[in-house]
Amino acid sequence: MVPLENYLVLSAIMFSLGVYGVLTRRNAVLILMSVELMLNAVSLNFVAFASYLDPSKIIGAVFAVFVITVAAAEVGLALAIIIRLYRNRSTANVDEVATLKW
Amino acid sequence: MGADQAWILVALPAAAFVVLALCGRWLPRQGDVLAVLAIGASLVLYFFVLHDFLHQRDGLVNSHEYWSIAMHHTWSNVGNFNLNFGTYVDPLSAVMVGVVTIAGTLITIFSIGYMKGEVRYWWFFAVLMGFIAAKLMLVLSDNLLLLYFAWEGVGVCSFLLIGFYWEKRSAAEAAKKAFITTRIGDVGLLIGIILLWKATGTFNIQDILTAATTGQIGHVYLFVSLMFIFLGAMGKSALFPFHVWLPDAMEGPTPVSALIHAATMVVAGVYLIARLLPAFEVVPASLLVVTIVGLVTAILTGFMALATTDIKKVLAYSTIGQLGFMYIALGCSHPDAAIMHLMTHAFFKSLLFLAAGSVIIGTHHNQDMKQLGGLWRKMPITAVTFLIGSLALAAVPPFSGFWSKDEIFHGTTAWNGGWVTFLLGFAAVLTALYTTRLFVRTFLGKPQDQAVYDNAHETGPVMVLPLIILALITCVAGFTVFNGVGRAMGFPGGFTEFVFLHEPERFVMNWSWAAASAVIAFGGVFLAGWIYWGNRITISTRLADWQPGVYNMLVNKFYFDDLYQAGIDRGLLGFSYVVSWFDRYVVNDTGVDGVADTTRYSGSILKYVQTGKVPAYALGIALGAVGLAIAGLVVRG
Amino acid sequence: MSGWDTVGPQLAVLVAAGLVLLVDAMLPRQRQALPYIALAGLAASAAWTASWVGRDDFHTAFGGTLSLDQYAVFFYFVFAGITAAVVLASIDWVNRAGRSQGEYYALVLVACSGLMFLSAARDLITIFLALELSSIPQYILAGWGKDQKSSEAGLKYLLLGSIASALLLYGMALLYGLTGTTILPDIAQVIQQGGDTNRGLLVVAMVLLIAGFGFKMAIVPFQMWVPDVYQGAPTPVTAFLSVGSKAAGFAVIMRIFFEALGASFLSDDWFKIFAVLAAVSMTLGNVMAIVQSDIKRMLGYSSIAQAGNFLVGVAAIAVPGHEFTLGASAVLLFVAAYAFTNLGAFIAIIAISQKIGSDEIKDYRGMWRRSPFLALALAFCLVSLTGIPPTVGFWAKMYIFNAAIRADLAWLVILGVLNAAISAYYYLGVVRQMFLSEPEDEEPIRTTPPIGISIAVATAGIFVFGVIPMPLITAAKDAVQIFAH
Repeated sequence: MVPLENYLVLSAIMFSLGVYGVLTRRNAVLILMSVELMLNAVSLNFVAFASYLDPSKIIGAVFAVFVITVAAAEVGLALAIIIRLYRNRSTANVDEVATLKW
Repeated sequence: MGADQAWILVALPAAAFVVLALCGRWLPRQGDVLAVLAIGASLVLYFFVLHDFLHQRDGLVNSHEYWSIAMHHTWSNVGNFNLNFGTYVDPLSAVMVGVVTIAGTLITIFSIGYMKGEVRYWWFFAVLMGFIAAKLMLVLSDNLLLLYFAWEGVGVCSFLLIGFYWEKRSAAEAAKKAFITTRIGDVGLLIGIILLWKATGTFNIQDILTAATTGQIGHVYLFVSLMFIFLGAMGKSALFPFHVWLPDAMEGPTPVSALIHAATMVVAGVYLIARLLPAFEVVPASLLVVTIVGLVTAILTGFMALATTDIKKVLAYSTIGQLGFMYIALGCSHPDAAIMHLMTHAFFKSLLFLAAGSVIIGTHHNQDMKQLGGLWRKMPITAVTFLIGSLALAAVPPFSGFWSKDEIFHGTTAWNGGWVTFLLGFAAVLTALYTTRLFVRTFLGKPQDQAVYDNAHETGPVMVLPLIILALITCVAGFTVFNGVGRAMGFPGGFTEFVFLHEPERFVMNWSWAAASAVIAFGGVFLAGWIYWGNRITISTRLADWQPGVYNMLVNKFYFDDLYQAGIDRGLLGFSYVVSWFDRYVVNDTGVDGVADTTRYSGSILKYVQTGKVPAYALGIALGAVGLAIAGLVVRG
Repeated sequence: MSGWDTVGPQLAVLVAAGLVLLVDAMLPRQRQALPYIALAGLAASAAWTASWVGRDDFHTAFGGTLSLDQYAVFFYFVFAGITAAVVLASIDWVNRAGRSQGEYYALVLVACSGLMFLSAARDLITIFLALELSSIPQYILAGWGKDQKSSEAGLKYLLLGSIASALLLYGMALLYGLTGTTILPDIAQVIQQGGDTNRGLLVVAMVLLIAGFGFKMAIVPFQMWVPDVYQGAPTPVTAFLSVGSKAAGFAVIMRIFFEALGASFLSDDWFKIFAVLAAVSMTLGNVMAIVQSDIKRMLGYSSIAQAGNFLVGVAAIAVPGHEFTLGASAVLLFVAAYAFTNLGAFIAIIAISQKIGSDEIKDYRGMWRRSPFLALALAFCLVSLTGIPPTVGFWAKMYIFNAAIRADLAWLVILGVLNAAISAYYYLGVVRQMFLSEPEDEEPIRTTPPIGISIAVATAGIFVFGVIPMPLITAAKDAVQIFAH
């Protein structure tokens, strides 16, 4: 059986990739995808913990399902806002969406 | 009504403030009658309180015991967060309430005439009532927290009064400056109060004093907290280096609010220190600090007053200087002398401010002595009353200032070596100098500006009458120091037997002290009269007419004249200008504005951290989390 | 499954949200009734909550995921009050915006129910869901305005908010992995049994939780969205964000750190973290607020500084060996005071900016002449934010500093007092503009009844509790009794 540590390391790598994407990407959609990567890393963590450590084996999985659901809702909302912004300013580059500053 | 209902004294003006602020505009006569009624009623009730207080005091077997009447009401008591509030009537607060109610009543009546037809007439009376209520609460409060509330209330009302003519840019600036400068002190006061509270667990002043005098607070800790509290007093009293706000505060409606600040508000600090003096005595170093700050202030402002030509600003500097005298008395553990000087000063400074106001009105808003002169022919009553006030300020016997300043001189012997006495004498000479200069250049000599002089006239009876009343009080107020006078007025004895720290001190006329301080006063007056009398007549001729003995001693009159002129120009006045310059650019711009500027500057740099870009913000979050985690793990070890 | 009565207040609000949507869809002519339906729902919610006041048969429900206790009751009241004020203040703005009125009120109500769930949740999953239930409507609301600024605010809030959620979830995952449970008291038990073997990982989990909720609470360094979103979002929404989500953030973080991470070897760590964060937040927020020219943005920075003040109380809770409840009750008192004060200020700003069409502080010149009522109310709220008596803001600050002193955090208190002096500079700067400058435009500003009423209630609250603070202090004290075990 694959040891728990492997899952955790994989999850940490995914999470770090997500953070890296958030910090380097300029397109709002790509940032959103990076955030999804972070959330998926967390879901992986939850499922792994559930099957290795939790005697009931269920709470972590339930948590993962909720995370996926909420993430879907957030993506839907984010895309709506990005489309609205794109119509306003014809760009999805977050560096250009910076009129509010200082 | 007895002394335990003293809170009514505060409640009356406070109620008037609320009514006037909310609907003063629509009241008949814009509510000025209501204001006079409220403060007048407070004044009348004050005498009931005083009578009851003295009566209860007489009932004691040993009337020399320090007697007070305290009332407590519980405000909040949850767990260890106990708050009581109440009134505390003792000789000290009795005198202070008397000064505030008497001065307040006179000012309110005078304002009816002076503010007639001004914009926002009702608002002026509303703020005036708020000011008086806060001030009364300050002196009657039995705990430091309530005192701090009142302290801030006084500050806010004075901000509103100084900025009363907010259409004038300089007035708005002055209001801001006064508020910010005093707030720096207020922060110190609050820190001091919190420190004392932490050490004793109470805000009650008497409990804190008991704790301090019985050694429950460490000396270093006590010293630090007292210094913070003294910082608050320095800000409010405009002591060096906080003195910058008071001359600017003269932008208020003259002379009414000027008087409020000069004679009433600034002495809050004196009261506070006098109230906490037993704690200061525990750490002699704190008394030394108070004395030194008082001396520096008294001497420096003396020089500044000599270099100023605006009548009201000279009076403002002289106020700061006299406050310095009071702090010196406090530093010598003589609250009796300090409070007595506070009382006499309140009266003669009121007189001077109102007389200055009369000059300003009579010369159609001219307040620069370079354009005045010779006014005594045009305004005799103002001139005579101003002279009486000036003599009291210069401490010439037998006017009131002489007696109280004499008490302070007497007190300075508490410090060994006589250096305090010597420096105080020097400050007193300066006081006599600039006071005489002020009077001579305004009222004597030749008119400097013929047009101003020709249009000058004596002011009407509404203005003149308070001057005469105050002049009479100024002539006699000093005699309260004699035991017989006190007894005749129903007090247990002279002033120093009423207000005291450890035990009542019977007033004894010490002729050598009196003679010495009289010599100082006269010396200063003559020196200044000699220098400034007449602007074109040579000093030597004047001297010859006046003082043939001195004249004969001088072989070469021109040489002396030149020398003296050079001395005045390059020495004394030069030094005065250096002090003024230092004050303006170093203390004011660097010390006061500098702190604000630094904060502003760092804000204007730091704000660029907020680039408005999402990745940068995300980086902030990420770095924050990583940084916290590292910090947490490192601290963990 | 029993326990539905424990979520009565939330259900009342959600039912009102549904009704609002239904009425909006079925009876378009009756649109002006929408806010009043929302208010009725909030009133029902408050009434339901009121029926629990004074009772002590508190319990948990839904398998221990939700708890009904004094603490939750206190926050139910706070959130119902905040939402009611926001609904009242929104009426004019929504009417003028014209579109999707039902959705607006429904979203506000749903967010409110999310905040309520958050204050009662004692299970990590429930906390996460409640957080998102309140956040997602707020993201939409922030982007509600038609202008670009509002869209920008919405996008920033959403992107950064989901990053913060991800960090929070990672922390929750670690906590779950370390303890095998998501119920807070059970977590505490496992940690207590295990001793400090996994302390390093626990610290990391703790930091991630602080990061996630720090975003909501607007504390440095997770604060950067605050000024931008406050400035860009429609003002009624800003008012909601500034008090609602901040209060909820503090409500939940205190519950987590008390009930799950209360073990003494852990609280040793987090009180230091909180004390440092408090110092940094206060100072940075205040210093940057000084140079702002937009009043909403200035209040954004000031809310960061105020978050620092809240944190002083949290840090004071955490210091071991001291009376726990003092710091916690101080935070609750601050929450209530801040709700009154900030809402009052924002509603006054809504009324003013609707008329003058600007949020620049310099356009507030001479407001005293144009509307004495609004100018006085705004000035009073700013005075309360500064912490000058006789306002409730003074007591809140006093009480929180009191708690910190008792917890030997004197340095933090002195810093706090200095910061209060700095904050006076910019708060009273606005007051000075309003009272001591000439208006450029003399035209009077009229207030509509809903806004007038809400401002009057807020300022009356500030004043009444500023003179008689005891009822509020007692309520806060009672609410934190659950932590006193």
